[in-house]
Amino acid sequence: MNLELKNINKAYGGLEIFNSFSVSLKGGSINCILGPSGCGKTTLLNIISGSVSPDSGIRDDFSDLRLSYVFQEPRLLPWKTVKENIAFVLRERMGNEELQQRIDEYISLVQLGKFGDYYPSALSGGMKQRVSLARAFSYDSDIILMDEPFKALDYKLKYNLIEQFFKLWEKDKRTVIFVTHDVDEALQISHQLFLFSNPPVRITDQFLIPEDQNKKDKLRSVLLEKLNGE
Amino acid sequence: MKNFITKNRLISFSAVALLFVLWKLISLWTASDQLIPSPEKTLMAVADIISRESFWPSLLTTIGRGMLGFAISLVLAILVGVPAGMNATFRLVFNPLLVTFRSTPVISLILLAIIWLGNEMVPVFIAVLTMFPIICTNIIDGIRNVDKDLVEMGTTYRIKRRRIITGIYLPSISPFLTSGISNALGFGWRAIIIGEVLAQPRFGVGTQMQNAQIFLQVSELIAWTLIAILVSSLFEFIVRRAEKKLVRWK
Repeated sequence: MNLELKNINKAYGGLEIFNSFSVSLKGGSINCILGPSGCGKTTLLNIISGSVSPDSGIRDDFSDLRLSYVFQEPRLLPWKTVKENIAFVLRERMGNEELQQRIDEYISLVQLGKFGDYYPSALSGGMKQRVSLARAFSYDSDIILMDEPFKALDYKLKYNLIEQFFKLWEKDKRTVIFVTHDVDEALQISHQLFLFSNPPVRITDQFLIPEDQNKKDKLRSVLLEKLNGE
Repeated sequence: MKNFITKNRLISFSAVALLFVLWKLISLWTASDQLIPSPEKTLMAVADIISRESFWPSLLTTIGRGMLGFAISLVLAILVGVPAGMNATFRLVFNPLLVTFRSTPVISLILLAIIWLGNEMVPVFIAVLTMFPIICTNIIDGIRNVDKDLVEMGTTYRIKRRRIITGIYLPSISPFLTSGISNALGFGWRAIIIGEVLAQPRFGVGTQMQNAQIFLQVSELIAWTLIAILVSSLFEFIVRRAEKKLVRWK
């Protein structure tokens, strides 16, 4: 199942972000939106999540779809432990026994099994973002939206987290819409990639990411050139 | 850790002991029970006061007034503070009123209240006027401090409104609320006693203090003061305990 947005218009003040913008995102795979900072990537996610309404345009009816969101910051409740934070979003969806099982499963997937009863203030930035990932994946959503979730992390942590992200994703291969301005991150994570221009946003290019490392390297230089040319 | 706590207790205890020693020295120096009675004489006065028939009615009436004033203040503060915290227009209407309340000298209010109200209700009225603005301001600050990002997280995950209120709003407000309550109780307790001294209701700690003052019973006046301090500390202790439980996560 694909996700369609058609002729979306959205402006903030005088700035036109989207002017009859259309995109078709592929279901069951990892869609990456790559573009310069401030090009409306987050706005697109917010239009999909429903927290921002477009001025006009046709959006597939997502109201039946459930969404998980991995934000730039972990957005954990400081007064709840790791387990309680995940339970907070799951509680309305399942009984207590299943809930506990689900939480244990996902916190051990992100290697935080020993930290279930810790409060976020006792965790490092990378650990908090892992909780946020576990929260998003444990919630039985149809789509997972990710807004530069690895932005604030250093190189090593980032790749560790990307590995865990793949492990989580492999479990049920949900539709992911992943936003970033980092070419390497995009190449490593996505199945298809949409290159965004500065506002008003156009999709300047669309790529399927090759498996082959040589082809990836070639694509990398093409992307870097295009991004810098903007 | 445990050792540390006992050490802190020891320091606090020594400070109080030092205060008593100083007091004793000053009373020896002045050598006049009319001006500064010795600590042991004052403690005897405390014992004497407690054994009197009028002690419990006086103390309990004052505490009751405090509780009543506090309850009224809390309800009013929630009724005004919650909408004012959520809504900018409401806040604009109420802010000047709150500022006026907070900067009005308590004594003006007492004098007016004595004219307007019966003696029994004056201290409660004063307590409300003192405590309400403090709690209300804290509730408004607490609500405005709620992290909008967390609320957005909750709505994205389609969490029910009721659980967003109990799971996100209330825990963010609670540290503000407890600090407001603890401040309000401190100020309110003193305001009630002032109210009682001036309005002279039938029973009350303030009434007893005023009587002691009229008959120049200094040891009795200080004894009542000690009792008032003790009760106030007890309430402070209870609030701090509750606070610790509420903000365990910090």
